[in-house]
Amino acid sequence: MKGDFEDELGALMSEKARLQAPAALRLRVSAIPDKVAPSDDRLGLGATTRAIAVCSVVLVAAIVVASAWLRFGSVSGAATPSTLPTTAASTAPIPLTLDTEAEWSLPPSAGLICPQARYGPGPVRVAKTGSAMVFIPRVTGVEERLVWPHGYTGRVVDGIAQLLSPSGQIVAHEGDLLELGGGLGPDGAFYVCSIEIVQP
Amino acid sequence: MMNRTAVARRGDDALVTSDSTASVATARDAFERLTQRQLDRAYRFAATILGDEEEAQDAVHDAAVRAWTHWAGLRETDRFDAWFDRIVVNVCRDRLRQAGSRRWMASLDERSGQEVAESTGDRDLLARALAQLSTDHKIVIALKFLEDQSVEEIADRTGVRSGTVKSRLHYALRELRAGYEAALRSGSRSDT
Repeated sequence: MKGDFEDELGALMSEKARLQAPAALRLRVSAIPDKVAPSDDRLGLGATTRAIAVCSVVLVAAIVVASAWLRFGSVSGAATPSTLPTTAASTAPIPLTLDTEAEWSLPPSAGLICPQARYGPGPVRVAKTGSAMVFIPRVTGVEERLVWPHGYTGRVVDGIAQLLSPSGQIVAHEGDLLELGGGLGPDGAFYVCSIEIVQP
Repeated sequence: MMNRTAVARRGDDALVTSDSTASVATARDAFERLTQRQLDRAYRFAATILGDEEEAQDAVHDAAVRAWTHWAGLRETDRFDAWFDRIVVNVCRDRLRQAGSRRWMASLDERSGQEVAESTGDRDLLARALAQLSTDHKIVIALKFLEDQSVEEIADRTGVRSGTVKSRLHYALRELRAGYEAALRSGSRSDT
């Protein structure tokens, strides 16, 4: 009987293993629109797992913030390069430092200027070191100073560094490979004006 | 010499809009390539778990939509297979929870005793016994014996510890064997 059961189980699974996705299913998947409705069920983890994950992240974030507060007194009072405020996220974010430009000083009509010189060292990989967001050139591996437009921020969510625009939109994640456009400033730093994700 | 302040003012929308189209296209290409490669595997897994090929198609499609919706959360494409497996497992689990056992009971009730007797025999009885297992037991049986995954891989896909996987496999096999043997005995009695 034991042999029969195992033989039949093997045969049943072999039979199932011959199943192939129908062409209609392949077409349906290809037809998924680029923009689909957002879902609050990240990765389809289910309500219980999701609740546990959210609680865990909130708890860890609270511990980190409390530790920072005890050690430094405040996490929001530093000057440039500053510890930048973050926008709302699905999980509690941890701020990263990021070099940014100072406050606006020209009238709005000046805002159309955007130098597009390509960043010399080539594509950079988004990464983090300690509490700082860094951009490592793929070829040289040597970090050079980049300055982002005013209002750009960095943060860590779920262990992944994110670069955000002033409006709070995520423009790049840790690990992304970016082509940068912009220009050199008088201090030798490269001032970023445009980015293109060449490899997510 | 560039005008730094002017660049900064330009910042937000220029940066975001200039890269977004290329970014979406690149991501879409990767999603398409990786998902299509996994469709056969995802489909046969879903069909085995759900016991219905139409339902399996819907489940895999739902899983693909979820995968695309959360594509930004996938940091390493090398991990795509495990990541997508996990989504498929969760979609199938959700569908089974929603449907309860109604689908299976209905499909069995639709078959007359005569049809059962004329079916493909022992394998069909085993398939029916598999259909009677709990959702978690079906999932571990399919991942182990259909997908040939290790205990650690199953733990990764199902989000439980290895010890729990071993325990589930043990009890699932025991239950499956019991159901199969009971069906065999029942069949033997009806033959006499």
